[in-house]
Amino acid sequence: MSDDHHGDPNLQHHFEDMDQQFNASKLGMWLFLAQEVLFFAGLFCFYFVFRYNYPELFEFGSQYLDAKWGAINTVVLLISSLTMALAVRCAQTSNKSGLILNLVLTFICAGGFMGIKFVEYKSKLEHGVFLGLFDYYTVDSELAAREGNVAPTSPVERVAHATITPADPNATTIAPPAATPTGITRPPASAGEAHDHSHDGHEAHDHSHSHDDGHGGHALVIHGERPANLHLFFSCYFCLTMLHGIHVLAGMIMLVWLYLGAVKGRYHAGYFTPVDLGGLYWHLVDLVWIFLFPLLYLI
Amino acid sequence: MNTPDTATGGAVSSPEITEERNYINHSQGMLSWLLTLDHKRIGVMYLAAILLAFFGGGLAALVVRTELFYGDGDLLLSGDWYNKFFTLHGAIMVFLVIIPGIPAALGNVVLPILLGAKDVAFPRVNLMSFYFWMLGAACLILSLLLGGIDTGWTFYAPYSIYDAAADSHTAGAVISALTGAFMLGFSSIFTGLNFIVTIHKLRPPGMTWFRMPLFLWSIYATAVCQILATPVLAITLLLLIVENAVGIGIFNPNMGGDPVLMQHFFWFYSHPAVYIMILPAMGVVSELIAVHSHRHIFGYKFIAFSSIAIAIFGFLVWGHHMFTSMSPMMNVIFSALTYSVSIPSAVKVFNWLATMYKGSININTPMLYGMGFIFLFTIAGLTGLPLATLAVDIHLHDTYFVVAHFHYTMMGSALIAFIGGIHHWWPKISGRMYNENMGRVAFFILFFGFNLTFIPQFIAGSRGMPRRYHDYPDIFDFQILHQASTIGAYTMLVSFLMIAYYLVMSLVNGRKAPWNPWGGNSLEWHCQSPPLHENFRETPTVGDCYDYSGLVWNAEIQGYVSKKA
Amino acid sequence: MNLLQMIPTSPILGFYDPFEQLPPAASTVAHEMDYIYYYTFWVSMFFLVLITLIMVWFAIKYRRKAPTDPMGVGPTHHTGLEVTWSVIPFFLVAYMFWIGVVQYEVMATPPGDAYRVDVTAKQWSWDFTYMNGITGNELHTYVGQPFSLRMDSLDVLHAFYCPSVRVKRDIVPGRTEWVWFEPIVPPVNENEPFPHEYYIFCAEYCGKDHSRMRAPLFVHANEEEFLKALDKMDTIQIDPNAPWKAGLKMVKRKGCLSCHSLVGNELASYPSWLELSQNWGKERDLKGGGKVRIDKNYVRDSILNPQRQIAAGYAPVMPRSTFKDKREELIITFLEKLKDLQEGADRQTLQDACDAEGIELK
Repeated sequence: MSDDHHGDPNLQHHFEDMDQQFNASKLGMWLFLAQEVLFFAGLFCFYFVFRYNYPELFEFGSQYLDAKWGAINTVVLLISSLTMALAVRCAQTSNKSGLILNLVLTFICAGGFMGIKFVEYKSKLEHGVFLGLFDYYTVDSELAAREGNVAPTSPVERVAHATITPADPNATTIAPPAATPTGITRPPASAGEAHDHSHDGHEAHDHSHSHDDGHGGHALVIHGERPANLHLFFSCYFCLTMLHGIHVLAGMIMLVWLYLGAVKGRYHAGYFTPVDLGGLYWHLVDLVWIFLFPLLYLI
Repeated sequence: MNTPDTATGGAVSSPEITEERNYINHSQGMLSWLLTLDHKRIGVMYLAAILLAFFGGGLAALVVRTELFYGDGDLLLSGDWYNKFFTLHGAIMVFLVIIPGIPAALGNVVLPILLGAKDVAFPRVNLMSFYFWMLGAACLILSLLLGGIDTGWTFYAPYSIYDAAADSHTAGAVISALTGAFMLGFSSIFTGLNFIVTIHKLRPPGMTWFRMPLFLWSIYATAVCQILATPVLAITLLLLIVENAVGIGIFNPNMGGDPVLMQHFFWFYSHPAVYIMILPAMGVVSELIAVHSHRHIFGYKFIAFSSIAIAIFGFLVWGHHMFTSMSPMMNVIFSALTYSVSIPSAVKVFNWLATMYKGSININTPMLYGMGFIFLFTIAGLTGLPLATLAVDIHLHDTYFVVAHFHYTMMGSALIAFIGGIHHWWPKISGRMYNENMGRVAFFILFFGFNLTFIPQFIAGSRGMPRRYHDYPDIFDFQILHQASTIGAYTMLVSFLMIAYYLVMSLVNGRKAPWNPWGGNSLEWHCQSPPLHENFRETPTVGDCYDYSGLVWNAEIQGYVSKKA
Repeated sequence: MNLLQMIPTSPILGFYDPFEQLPPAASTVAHEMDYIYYYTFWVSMFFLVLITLIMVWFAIKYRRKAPTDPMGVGPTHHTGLEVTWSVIPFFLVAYMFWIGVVQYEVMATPPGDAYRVDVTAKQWSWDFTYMNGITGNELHTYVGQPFSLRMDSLDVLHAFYCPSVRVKRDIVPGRTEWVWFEPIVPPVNENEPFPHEYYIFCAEYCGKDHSRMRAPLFVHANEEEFLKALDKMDTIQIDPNAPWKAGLKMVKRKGCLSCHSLVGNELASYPSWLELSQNWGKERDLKGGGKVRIDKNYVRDSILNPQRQIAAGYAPVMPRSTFKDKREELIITFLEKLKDLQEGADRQTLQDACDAEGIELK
């Protein structure tokens, strides 16, 4: 066994040849992904146990999430997976400019995903909702402020396509407290304003985003009586999405590293292992979101 | 694949000329060690660090045992400090010593050599996993500086997530310890990942699966457990960290959470972790028994497959840690599954015995550890039977019977095999021979001290002494049993100091080790002691590593050499 | 029908026990459980001795006398043998599993006519509430009557464990757990006078004083004795000259001293009663601002509604207590008097009273 037979500078000393090195790296990556899957699987398991024990909590809680943003994020991630796959293809065909272009596109998609996530988190935080924290006081006082003395009292059927009217006592509209430019929170908007938003053509069933308040938040329409321990839903939501977000961030760092290597021309048909493995990782991150989206936003 | 005739005996190395250069003097300077990518150096660093941690964990155990000498408590420590010391002992021994012990220390040094590879598949990941271990250890030390934790190494919620005056710990200390365990988990995952890829992809021509030494099979089974189980622990610890930091409520009964769920997740990892500890030990013992009996291992395939079977069954039995808190139906299922592990374990013991049959048994220090292991592991396994029996476990659960049982498993089996393995491979690692007579004496002191410590605990436990008690009423003669146990613990201290002494002295003035001092035939005995930086001068040829017929004793070099063809 | 009756009781594998491994068998399930224990014990002993003897015998017989001895040559495998020693243990443990499950079913199914006791576990004491409303820190039972315990935890995990009746169950906060047992007179106690006393332990680690979370189990001869003992546990004799003594009794009964101290202790995590007594009539700071005067009203409120006013520097961990016949007043009287008792000439009286109650004055 001697290294001199193979002149490839990318071959590490303890491998026989590039094939062995590539296969070993790929197996290593698959094993790493397997443990990532189990890592998330643990969290999904928590989700299912709590969902099984408290189904009402998840049905109610998911109303606070905006499926539209979730759907947009799903599309963004799917596009990024496509560009990542194209990047791998470009690396395999030694297409340097294509590789760089696709890595940049993937990075932009990842950034877009995190941006949307940031907007969603921001609106939750403004409601006093965070990991394990469901600020019942704030939310209740907002409700009271908007609804006057009409508070939801009993569980009601979900009414699909029902337009909110001020007379509907079973629907509650929440808008985030509008922030002044200095970041100081103003008192909650009046009930009248909130209903004005609802009348701008948004319907209850699609948990609409209110574009016209100009403050980056969105109005939510919540049906039914709030079950106890709603913070458990948000604990699941934040743990799952934050852990996924951390993986996206790690992926973005990886993309920068791949980009720097690509600019230097390190990857070509004879050596594209890092791009290939990076692609595998990116697809996993995408895949996790594909599960997260319906579990949290839709069902 | 090009395979030589196995009948002529295993690997035939090039002329056995020992060179001056080896992995130890390959390069000089502190940094050449700290930044090394050489699996042997990483293994040696692991070994040193783990033995240091073992010393710390052992001292904590001695404090605990001293405190228990009298039943009325407060001899050395108040209740909260007693709790911190047993937590410290448990956390250090489990996370820092026994889990990484054999795979990361011994495995790193010998696995690539046994395989005939130049290194593990990912040397950088290997070094990273060592530094993850160091970070984890640092986090545990930090938690001590933050006042220590008294949650027990199991971190059971809700005690571990309350930060109230009634609990003698702060959230900061618990978070720090949890972070440490989290880091150590990743260290373990990366080691396992590395070993699986190495075994799959770096086998040289001729090294088929069924020619691998059994140590590799057991390391492989261990690595599977590490990769599949540890992430679940990691996520549980992460959630506990978040729970402690901001209170997400999923483990907190006051917030609608479920503390038993945490136990399920914890043991879904921590029971396979028991096999992460014991499987490599079984692998070491398979090597010890075969090599020092100078006789082909009996039932190679049964041993190999029983390792895999134990790894698989190990995933299905976690519920037996919760027999006193689950529903009767779940209990029955988990009781049945628990028994399933006993069969492959018994198979291994019988196979080791059969290996000694018609052997040519050299009763030296490593062999004594091998035989000691068989005895202690048999007790460990058999005392598992009443614990798996539902009706009896109701009485024995959370008593000293359990404490004694798992000490027979973790210390009597895993640690004894680890120490045996250190002796077995010491000539290879250090290039020196230790004092054989002192080795034997130290073994007998250790063996006696161990049984003196833990047999009384079986009796105390079956008489009803609950575990984790800082003081105890002197009924059922608890006190005399505890006193015997404490004396045993100090006896073990004597033996460990002896072992440390003669191993260190061997580095100073030990006889230079030949290539093959024991007469083994696996590949590590066909490279020089200590090995070259690149392990082998040329790719070794592989034969049946348990066929010793091709070796003869050479009095001149005080070692075994291959018969001249 | 109890399937256990079908187990052949061999004289050899019976109850012979040179090590006295199990505590007195004081409940109806203990006898069968002990049988299963000894069955596994003797099977295990057999294999341990067999394996050890074979190992030592081989080690001696096939010892390598010189390094030049020829290598060992023996069979490398024998499928028949290997299958045999896989299958025999299988049947042995299958039988163990079976008898374990059968007996477990008995232990897990309470009989319908059980006397119910409500058990409350908290750091670090036990409260037992009987069907006639009497509450105390002692568990009283009598021979021939099944007792079922309905158990709750107020804080962290605990486990109810009484070795002599072979009962253990984790108590998870937020869940209600049940165990049952029927006391009998174990052979070793046949000539002992009633009541028989056994230990109740907490078996699941619960913090600092986990090891001191103990309670006595009394087994009485019959229902009459049992009810008498409950009444005795419940009645309080008030000495008109020293009413504080009855207060001390209540303190013991309510388990106050598992947290509070009768002597000043700057480092304690809980308010020291001596300090309270010394500052009687003065004001103290409350958590979150505000002050309150230490007087009967404040102390009463702290006992009955401990979460309402939290003293600055302490955590809101004290559980609520309820009293019948306004007995909390006895504790309040004692607390007010504590300063004088500790510092005056009555110190020895207090010491004696504590000794009588089995309270360590420290």
